[in-house]
Amino acid sequence: MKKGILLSLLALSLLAGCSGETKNANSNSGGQGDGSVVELTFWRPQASEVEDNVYVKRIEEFNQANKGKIHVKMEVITRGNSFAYEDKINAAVASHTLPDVLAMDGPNIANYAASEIIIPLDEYFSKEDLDDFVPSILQQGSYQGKFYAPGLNESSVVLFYNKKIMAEHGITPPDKIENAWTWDEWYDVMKKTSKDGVFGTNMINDKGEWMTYAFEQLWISGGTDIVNKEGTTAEGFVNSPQGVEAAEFLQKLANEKLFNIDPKPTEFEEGKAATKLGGPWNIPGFKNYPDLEWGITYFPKKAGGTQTAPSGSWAVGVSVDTKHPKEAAEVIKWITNKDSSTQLAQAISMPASRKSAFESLTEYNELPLRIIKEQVTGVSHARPVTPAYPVLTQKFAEALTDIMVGADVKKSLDNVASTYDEEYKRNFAE
Amino acid sequence: MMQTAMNAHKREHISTFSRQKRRETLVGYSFVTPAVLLLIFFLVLPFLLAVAFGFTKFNLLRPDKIHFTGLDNYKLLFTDGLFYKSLWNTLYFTVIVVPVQSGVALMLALLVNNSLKLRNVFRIAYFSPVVTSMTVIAILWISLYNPNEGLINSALHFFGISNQPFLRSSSQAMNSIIFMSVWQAAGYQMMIFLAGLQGISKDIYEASSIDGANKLQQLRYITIPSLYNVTVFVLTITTIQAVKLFVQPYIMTNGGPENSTRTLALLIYQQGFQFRNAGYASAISVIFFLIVVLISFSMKKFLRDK
Repeated sequence: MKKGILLSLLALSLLAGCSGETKNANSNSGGQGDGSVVELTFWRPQASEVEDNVYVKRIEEFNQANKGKIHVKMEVITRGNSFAYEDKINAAVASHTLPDVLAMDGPNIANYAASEIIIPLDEYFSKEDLDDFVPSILQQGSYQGKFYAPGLNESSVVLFYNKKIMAEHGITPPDKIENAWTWDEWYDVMKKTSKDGVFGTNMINDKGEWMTYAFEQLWISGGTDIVNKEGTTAEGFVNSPQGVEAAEFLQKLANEKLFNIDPKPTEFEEGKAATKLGGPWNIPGFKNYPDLEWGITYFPKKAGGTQTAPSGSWAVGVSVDTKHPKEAAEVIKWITNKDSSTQLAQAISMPASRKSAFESLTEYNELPLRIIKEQVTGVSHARPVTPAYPVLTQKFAEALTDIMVGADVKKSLDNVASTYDEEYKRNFAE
Repeated sequence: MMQTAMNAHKREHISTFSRQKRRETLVGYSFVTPAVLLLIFFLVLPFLLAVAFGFTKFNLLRPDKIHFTGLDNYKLLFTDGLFYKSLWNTLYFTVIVVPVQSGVALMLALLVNNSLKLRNVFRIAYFSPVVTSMTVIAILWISLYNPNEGLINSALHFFGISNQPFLRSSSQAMNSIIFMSVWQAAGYQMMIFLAGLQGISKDIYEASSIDGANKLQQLRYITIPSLYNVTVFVLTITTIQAVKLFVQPYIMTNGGPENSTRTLALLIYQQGFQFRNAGYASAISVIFFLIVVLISFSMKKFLRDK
């Protein structure tokens, strides 16, 4: 009997222990610490080692510079798959245990802002300071006229090409933005180079976020978008005539087998694809393929349409649970200032989020990286700013995948429009 | 005097007995307490919460703004084409997988139960997919099913059959997932059948062969009837596993193409965690639960009445 009581006591204390722990975490996150030092926590997902090291170094320097006033504790959260980090945020929202400062993926900013889990930062940034960010960072970081979260760096999608294959067919890819290939010119290149187990292009990185990130630009190039500017409706946008034309273009490439819908990630590197839609993150990996001679050209545009390119990155914001918004904003300003932006860009070969950072990144002044800089600072568009983004991106990606394997174009896009509109009306209208 | 002594003795006996019994009951309860508490906290309570959330609008990111919406979620559910499509896909998968997988498992069990020389090799070969993580297997099969250079297409090519799209076709995707699922899981049921087969006494077979029964007759009149209870068990667990189909479509097709592999479990995950509509996802879960209960009960009734 004693044993039984002991056991049940143990079980009870275990359960009590669980709830006790969450309470502790709660008081930590908003904790005052002792004395006047403000203790802050900062969550971000685990990245590559070089990237992680930059943040560790910058936070250490911040703590040094603010000794006796602010101390930041950075918690690196394993990402596992792309939603593990978001799931942790969801859980923290429910239990009010959000950190003071948190990193988030660009398109989630509007969703978090609309759900009131992050606060606007306008009062903490000067006009000049904000203007130093590249336009797409301001676009992805703003919701309903307020600025919520600056990006840590930028990103872009370019068209890589295999120099040997281009030379074989006498093709010279453009190196001036006004000569950027149109879809039809790109199609001709694919048509010429696609034979003997070589695909004309490689453009499927994954069938999730990539689909929205990369291919929304075809809609933008055609003068429309996948939702309206306010983000309140997709009807007449994603399924507009220009949208249908863009999707039909993708379907044509798929029908003629000009790209592989289930490619090996290194198809281009191995010389099995003549071109590749990819980003700066691909460049470090090219080193492992000494036979590969690669070049960069612009994201193709619609004939007579807008020159554009994807953009977007991870950003940092201040949570509503913080007791020290002013100090938390200091951390954000530090981690996204010119020095941080430059160091990060150098470490991970992604374009910087600040115009001033490009001054010291001289490699971006010449080919091939010049093309990335021109796109990032000149023509890029961020993904739609809407609180219903999770539904939009999921449904849009599903529709594009279906279209690439032969589904009816208009029907698939109509389905995206109606699902999105219903979702928006049900959860975000008013 | 004697009577009193006897009574006293009896009384004492009774009281020791009842004290001991009470003691045992207490010990018993204290032993089950941790388990019951854990069950209440992690199974009963979440289930009741899911039922309650089913009547609310609940965005995962706005837990403070839950509000009661009555039967709205259920009204939406019964007009949602995707729900019916997912339900249909789930039932289709179950109806095909349960008999096929159990049948294959039985045949494999009969094979490895023989006194073949290599039977241990076979046993290991058929069982190894079961112990491998489904995630790993799903990723492996994505490349086997690759419409361009997948191994299966290369094999078909050898027989003069043109490339098949498999997971990229709305008419083939679900069947491709079924084929792979049967291959992966049949080894598990094989082991259960094997245990059943080894429990059948050899004497019966000997007696029947003296009576002149051939192998086929032995299978028909001895093996299969003797395996009745095992079969009921296998069918039940296979059904419950089948209706929960999630990992394969989640990894291999994400429910596509054209929702042809969207299952109820996948729909719940998508609504609840990706779209953060926890209220609506809870409503689907409740309906899903009722369907599973219905299937389990009718199976039990059907199999027992036989």
